[in-house]
Amino acid sequence: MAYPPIFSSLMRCIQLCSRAKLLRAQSISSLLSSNQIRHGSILYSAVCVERYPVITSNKSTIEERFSELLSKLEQENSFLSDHEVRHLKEEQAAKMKQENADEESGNVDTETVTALDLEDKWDAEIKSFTPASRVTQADEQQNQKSVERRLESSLYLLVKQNIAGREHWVLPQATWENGETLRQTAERALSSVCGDVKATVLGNAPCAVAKYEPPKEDEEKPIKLFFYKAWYREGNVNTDSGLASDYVWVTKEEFKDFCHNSYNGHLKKFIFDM
Amino acid sequence: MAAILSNLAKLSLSQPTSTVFQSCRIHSQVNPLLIRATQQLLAEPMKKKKRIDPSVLAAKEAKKIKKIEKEIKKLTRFGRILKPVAEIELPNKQFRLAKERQRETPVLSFEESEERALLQKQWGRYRTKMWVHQYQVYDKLVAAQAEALEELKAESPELYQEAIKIDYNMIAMNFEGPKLTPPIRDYVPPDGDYVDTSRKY
Repeated sequence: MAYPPIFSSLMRCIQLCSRAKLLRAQSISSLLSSNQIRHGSILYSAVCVERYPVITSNKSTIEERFSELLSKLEQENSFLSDHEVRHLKEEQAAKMKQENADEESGNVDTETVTALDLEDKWDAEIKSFTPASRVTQADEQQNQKSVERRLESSLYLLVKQNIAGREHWVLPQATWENGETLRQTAERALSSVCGDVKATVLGNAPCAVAKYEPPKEDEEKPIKLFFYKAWYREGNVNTDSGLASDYVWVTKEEFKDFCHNSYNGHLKKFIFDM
Repeated sequence: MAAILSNLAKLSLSQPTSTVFQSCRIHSQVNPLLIRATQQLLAEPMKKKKRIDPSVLAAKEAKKIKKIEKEIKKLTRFGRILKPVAEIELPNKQFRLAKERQRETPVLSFEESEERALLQKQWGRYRTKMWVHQYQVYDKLVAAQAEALEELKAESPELYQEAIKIDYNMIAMNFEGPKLTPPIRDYVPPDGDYVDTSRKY
């Protein structure tokens, strides 16, 4: 590992930019003129819509233990807070009072709010509020069509699309058409297959590619499938267009239950748990 | 002699002892006494205004402006000059308070301190593993994208050019979360909503 990856990706950006400047002069001919050019393979764009985690991930055992230790250490190394100082002073005052009362009884007690009273009040206040559960209804019903499931991890959108006469679980995909960029194809794939899902495609560059070579007997062109990542914003999947018969929101681990092994291999190239 | 006296009386102020005589005179005499004492002002005569040469005044003004300009220049050249950290001293009161607020730390048993040390070592190994994993993930992501771009370039230089363009929409991006618990739907906060009313310019 010569460079940290962030450097290498930066270097890559710089290289790309300088290359872009060089090539811009050569490729003044616009996309329109490329309509005549026949590509060596059929181009597809697929969009990987990711719903990012809504809640923090569950702590592992060591994380749990270490966070406990850290809070213990922090408490031990800290100074007494205003509240604690007040509590101590009140305790001392109460003791003094008791000693005095033993000697001469008959002091009139005045009602005051002590630090302990305040603590009870705060406890009651926090108990009156119940936060939403980390486990949602969709989790309990095992409803894989809901974006509300598995809030602690990333979810990816898979659709059942008809590809070459057979139905497969894939990321929403579409064929590239003349006059559009691959990113536009990816956006079109999402809007045409899934309907109302709003997502932001991240960047103009595809994040991975999958190549399919046809059998030699067939006189078909090879296929190149470019993947784009997108950030799920809102909306529900609507398969009314008929391009997809079904859909699911799944985690990375659940891909293997749906996708073909080879397709799953391609997904593993660019979908990672950090 | 009497005539002279009466003349003198005409000139002088009214005598406090001769009110009867005076009241008689008011009616009898054609010309009443018109002498009146003016109000006392209790003031000094006005001082003569000192005249300053306008050139001197202008010079004074210029000097002031120059001084301010000099300071501005100094500030723009060096920025705010901060006090060196070594010179910053805490007031004595803080030290006294810190002593007062000392917490009594429990004495750790041998097992306890050993366990803590072990856990810290474990944690170090765990984080290192994660760090290595992250680096590998970054490398794989970069490699996957590079492969995709190479394939695209081989297919169509025009599409490649479109793909390597900078996406300026990504620059102003904000993220929120993840949080400990999911948001409650249709939650009405008991203290009301926070509305930012500060003026926008």
